[in-house]
Amino acid sequence: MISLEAKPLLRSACLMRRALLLILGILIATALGTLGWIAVDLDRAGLSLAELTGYGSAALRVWQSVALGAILLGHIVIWIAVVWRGQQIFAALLREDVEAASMAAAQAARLLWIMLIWGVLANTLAALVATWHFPDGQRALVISFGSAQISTVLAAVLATFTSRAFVFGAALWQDHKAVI
Amino acid sequence: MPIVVRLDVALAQRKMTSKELAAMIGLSEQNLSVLRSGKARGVRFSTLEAICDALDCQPGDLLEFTQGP
Repeated sequence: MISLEAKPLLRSACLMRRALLLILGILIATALGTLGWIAVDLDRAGLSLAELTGYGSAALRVWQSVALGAILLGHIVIWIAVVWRGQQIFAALLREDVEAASMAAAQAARLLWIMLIWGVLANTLAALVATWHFPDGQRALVISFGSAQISTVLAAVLATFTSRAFVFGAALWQDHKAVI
Repeated sequence: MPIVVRLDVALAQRKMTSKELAAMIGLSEQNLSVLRSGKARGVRFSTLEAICDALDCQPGDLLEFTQGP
Protein backbone atom coordinates (compact mmCIF):
# COMPACT_ATOMS: atom_id res chain seq x y z
CA MET A 1 0.00 0.00 0.00
CA ILE A 2 1.30 3.46 -0.89
CA SER A 3 1.89 5.67 2.13
CA LEU A 4 0.44 9.16 1.86
CA GLU A 5 2.35 10.34 4.92
CA ALA A 6 3.68 13.77 4.05
CA LYS A 7 6.32 14.14 6.80
CA PRO A 8 9.33 12.62 4.91
CA LEU A 9 8.48 14.82 1.91
CA LEU A 10 8.26 17.90 4.12
CA ARG A 11 11.63 17.12 5.73
CA SER A 12 13.22 16.87 2.27
CA ALA A 13 11.48 20.10 1.22
CA CYS A 14 12.90 21.88 4.28
CA LEU A 15 16.42 20.64 3.47
CA MET A 16 16.13 21.57 -0.21
CA ARG A 17 14.81 25.04 0.64
CA ARG A 18 17.75 25.69 2.95
CA ALA A 19 20.21 24.53 0.27
CA LEU A 20 18.58 26.79 -2.31
CA LEU A 21 18.57 29.75 0.09
CA LEU A 22 22.30 29.18 0.60
CA ILE A 23 22.86 29.14 -3.19
CA LEU A 24 20.68 32.27 -3.45
CA GLY A 25 22.89 34.01 -0.90
CA ILE A 26 26.02 33.03 -2.85
CA LEU A 27 24.47 34.30 -6.10
CA ILE A 28 23.42 37.63 -4.57
CA ALA A 29 26.93 38.03 -3.10
CA THR A 30 28.39 37.21 -6.56
CA ALA A 31 26.13 39.82 -8.19
CA LEU A 32 27.10 42.45 -5.62
CA GLY A 33 30.77 41.47 -5.94
CA THR A 34 30.58 41.83 -9.73
CA LEU A 35 28.94 45.24 -9.38
CA GLY A 36 31.61 46.30 -6.91
CA TRP A 37 34.39 44.98 -9.17
CA ILE A 38 33.01 46.93 -12.14
CA ALA A 39 32.65 50.09 -10.02
CA VAL A 40 36.14 49.88 -8.50
CA ASP A 41 38.22 48.69 -11.45
CA LEU A 42 36.22 48.95 -14.66
CA ASP A 43 39.19 48.49 -17.01
CA ARG A 44 40.49 45.29 -15.42
CA ALA A 45 36.96 43.92 -14.99
CA GLY A 46 36.22 44.58 -18.67
CA LEU A 47 39.49 43.00 -19.75
CA SER A 48 38.90 39.88 -17.63
CA LEU A 49 35.37 39.52 -18.97
CA ALA A 50 36.62 40.01 -22.55
CA GLU A 51 39.22 37.29 -21.96
CA LEU A 52 36.41 34.96 -20.90
CA THR A 53 34.89 35.35 -24.37
CA GLY A 54 38.26 34.42 -25.92
CA TYR A 55 38.74 37.89 -27.41
CA GLY A 56 40.75 39.64 -24.70
CA SER A 57 42.17 43.01 -25.68
CA ALA A 58 43.76 45.78 -23.63
CA ALA A 59 42.10 48.54 -25.64
CA LEU A 60 38.50 48.14 -24.47
CA ARG A 61 36.34 51.26 -24.34
CA VAL A 62 34.35 52.13 -21.21
CA TRP A 63 30.99 51.20 -22.75
CA GLN A 64 32.37 47.79 -23.75
CA SER A 65 33.46 47.02 -20.19
CA VAL A 66 30.09 48.19 -18.86
CA ALA A 67 28.23 46.12 -21.48
CA LEU A 68 30.27 42.99 -20.68
CA GLY A 69 29.55 43.52 -16.97
CA ALA A 70 25.84 43.96 -17.72
CA ILE A 71 25.78 40.70 -19.73
CA LEU A 72 27.38 38.83 -16.82
CA LEU A 73 24.98 40.46 -14.35
CA GLY A 74 22.05 39.53 -16.59
CA HIS A 75 23.15 35.90 -16.38
CA ILE A 76 23.44 36.05 -12.59
CA VAL A 77 20.03 37.75 -12.27
CA ILE A 78 18.37 34.93 -14.27
CA TRP A 79 20.12 32.40 -12.02
CA ILE A 80 18.82 34.28 -8.95
CA ALA A 81 15.29 34.22 -10.40
CA VAL A 82 15.51 30.44 -11.07
CA VAL A 83 16.84 29.66 -7.58
CA TRP A 84 14.26 32.01 -6.01
CA ARG A 85 11.44 30.17 -7.81
CA GLY A 86 13.03 26.87 -6.77
CA GLN A 87 12.98 27.80 -3.09
CA GLN A 88 9.37 29.00 -3.53
CA ILE A 89 8.41 25.46 -4.63
CA PHE A 90 9.73 24.02 -1.38
CA ALA A 91 8.36 26.90 0.75
CA ALA A 92 4.91 26.19 -0.71
CA LEU A 93 5.31 22.46 -0.04
CA LEU A 94 6.21 23.26 3.58
CA ARG A 95 2.94 25.21 3.84
CA GLU A 96 1.27 22.14 2.22
CA ASP A 97 0.09 24.49 -0.52
CA VAL A 98 0.52 22.13 -3.47
CA GLU A 99 -1.19 24.49 -5.89
CA ALA A 100 1.33 27.28 -5.17
CA ALA A 101 4.16 24.75 -5.47
CA SER A 102 2.96 23.67 -8.90
CA MET A 103 2.73 27.32 -10.03
CA ALA A 104 6.28 28.01 -8.79
CA ALA A 105 7.54 24.87 -10.56
CA ALA A 106 5.93 26.03 -13.82
CA GLN A 107 7.57 29.47 -13.46
CA ALA A 108 10.95 27.87 -12.67
CA ALA A 109 10.63 25.76 -15.83
CA ARG A 110 9.84 28.87 -17.92
CA LEU A 111 12.85 30.65 -16.41
CA LEU A 112 15.11 27.72 -17.33
CA TRP A 113 14.00 28.06 -20.97
CA ILE A 114 14.70 31.81 -20.74
CA MET A 115 18.12 30.98 -19.24
CA LEU A 116 18.86 28.70 -22.22
CA ILE A 117 17.96 31.42 -24.74
CA TRP A 118 19.85 34.05 -22.76
CA GLY A 119 22.88 31.73 -22.46
CA VAL A 120 23.16 31.45 -26.26
CA LEU A 121 22.39 35.17 -26.80
CA ALA A 122 24.80 36.29 -24.05
CA ASN A 123 27.72 34.45 -25.70
CA THR A 124 26.92 36.05 -29.05
CA LEU A 125 26.52 39.52 -27.51
CA ALA A 126 29.65 39.20 -25.36
CA ALA A 127 31.83 38.24 -28.36
CA LEU A 128 30.34 41.08 -30.42
CA VAL A 129 30.91 43.65 -27.66
CA ALA A 130 34.45 42.40 -26.90
CA THR A 131 35.48 42.69 -30.57
CA TRP A 132 33.53 45.86 -31.45
CA HIS A 133 36.69 48.02 -31.50
CA PHE A 134 38.54 45.56 -33.75
CA PRO A 135 39.21 46.63 -37.34
CA ASP A 136 36.63 45.77 -39.99
CA GLY A 137 36.73 42.09 -40.85
CA GLN A 138 38.00 41.07 -37.43
CA ARG A 139 34.79 41.54 -35.41
CA ALA A 140 33.32 38.28 -34.19
CA LEU A 141 29.77 37.03 -34.03
CA VAL A 142 29.71 33.70 -32.20
CA ILE A 143 26.88 31.26 -31.72
CA SER A 144 27.89 28.51 -29.34
CA PHE A 145 25.92 25.49 -28.24
CA GLY A 146 27.91 23.29 -25.93
CA SER A 147 27.57 21.04 -22.91
CA ALA A 148 26.37 23.95 -20.72
CA GLN A 149 23.45 24.61 -23.08
CA ILE A 150 22.68 20.88 -23.37
CA SER A 151 22.61 20.66 -19.55
CA THR A 152 20.23 23.62 -19.44
CA VAL A 153 17.97 21.98 -22.06
CA LEU A 154 17.93 18.80 -19.96
CA ALA A 155 17.15 20.76 -16.77
CA ALA A 156 14.43 22.75 -18.55
CA VAL A 157 12.80 19.62 -20.00
CA LEU A 158 12.88 17.91 -16.58
CA ALA A 159 11.55 21.05 -14.85
CA THR A 160 8.74 21.37 -17.40
CA PHE A 161 7.76 17.72 -16.88
CA THR A 162 8.04 18.10 -13.09
CA SER A 163 5.83 21.19 -13.11
CA ARG A 164 3.16 19.28 -15.04
CA ALA A 165 3.51 16.37 -12.60
CA PHE A 166 3.09 18.89 -9.76
CA VAL A 167 -0.18 20.17 -11.28
CA PHE A 168 -1.44 16.59 -11.57
CA GLY A 169 -0.20 15.83 -8.03
CA ALA A 170 -1.95 18.95 -6.68
CA ALA A 171 -5.26 17.82 -8.20
CA LEU A 172 -4.78 14.32 -6.72
CA TRP A 173 -3.87 15.78 -3.33
CA GLN A 174 -7.01 17.97 -3.30
CA ASP A 175 -9.09 14.93 -4.22
CA HIS A 176 -7.37 12.83 -1.57
CA LYS A 177 -8.11 15.47 1.07
CA ALA A 178 -11.80 15.47 0.13
CA VAL A 179 -12.13 11.69 0.61
CA ILE A 180 -12.73 10.91 4.29
CA MET B 1 -25.29 15.91 -4.46
CA PRO B 2 -27.90 13.10 -4.60
CA ILE B 3 -26.08 11.10 -1.88
CA VAL B 4 -27.00 12.52 1.53
CA VAL B 5 -24.97 11.67 4.63
CA ARG B 6 -27.31 10.93 7.54
CA LEU B 7 -24.61 10.89 10.18
CA ASP B 8 -26.25 13.69 12.21
CA VAL B 9 -29.45 11.66 12.53
CA ALA B 10 -27.53 8.52 13.52
CA LEU B 11 -25.59 10.47 16.15
CA ALA B 12 -28.74 12.14 17.53
CA GLN B 13 -30.53 8.77 17.81
CA ARG B 14 -27.62 7.47 19.90
CA LYS B 15 -27.23 10.72 21.86
CA MET B 16 -23.58 10.81 20.84
CA THR B 17 -21.56 13.89 19.93
CA SER B 18 -19.40 14.08 16.83
CA LYS B 19 -16.41 14.70 19.11
CA GLU B 20 -17.02 11.36 20.85
CA LEU B 21 -17.44 9.56 17.53
CA ALA B 22 -14.26 11.15 16.15
CA ALA B 23 -12.34 9.96 19.21
CA MET B 24 -13.81 6.45 18.92
CA ILE B 25 -12.93 5.93 15.28
CA GLY B 26 -9.63 7.86 15.28
CA LEU B 27 -10.74 10.53 12.81
CA SER B 28 -10.09 14.25 13.24
CA GLU B 29 -13.13 16.36 14.17
CA GLN B 30 -12.42 18.51 11.11
CA ASN B 31 -12.67 15.51 8.78
CA LEU B 32 -15.80 14.25 10.52
CA SER B 33 -17.32 17.71 10.11
CA VAL B 34 -16.54 17.61 6.36
CA LEU B 35 -18.31 14.23 6.19
CA ARG B 36 -21.32 15.41 8.24
CA SER B 37 -21.79 18.55 6.18
CA GLY B 38 -21.83 16.57 2.93
CA LYS B 39 -18.74 18.35 1.59
CA ALA B 40 -16.73 15.14 1.28
CA ARG B 41 -16.17 13.83 -2.26
CA GLY B 42 -15.98 10.25 -1.05
CA VAL B 43 -15.92 7.93 1.94
CA ARG B 44 -13.35 5.17 2.39
CA PHE B 45 -14.69 1.70 3.20
CA SER B 46 -12.39 1.70 6.25
CA THR B 47 -14.00 4.95 7.54
CA LEU B 48 -17.49 3.61 6.84
CA GLU B 49 -16.61 0.36 8.60
CA ALA B 50 -15.31 2.22 11.67
CA ILE B 51 -18.42 4.44 11.87
CA CYS B 52 -20.78 1.48 11.44
CA ASP B 53 -18.86 -0.40 14.13
CA ALA B 54 -18.97 2.55 16.56
CA LEU B 55 -22.66 3.34 15.95
CA ASP B 56 -23.72 -0.30 15.50
CA CYS B 57 -25.49 0.43 12.25
CA GLN B 58 -25.42 -0.43 8.54
CA PRO B 59 -23.92 1.75 5.77
CA GLY B 60 -27.45 2.24 4.48
CA ASP B 61 -28.37 3.92 7.77
CA LEU B 62 -25.72 6.58 7.12
CA LEU B 63 -26.09 7.18 3.38
CA GLU B 64 -29.24 7.96 1.48
CA PHE B 65 -29.80 8.43 -2.22
CA THR B 66 -32.16 11.23 -3.23
CA GLN B 67 -33.17 12.20 -6.76
CA GLY B 68 -31.30 15.37 -7.62
CA PRO B 69 -32.68 18.19 -9.82
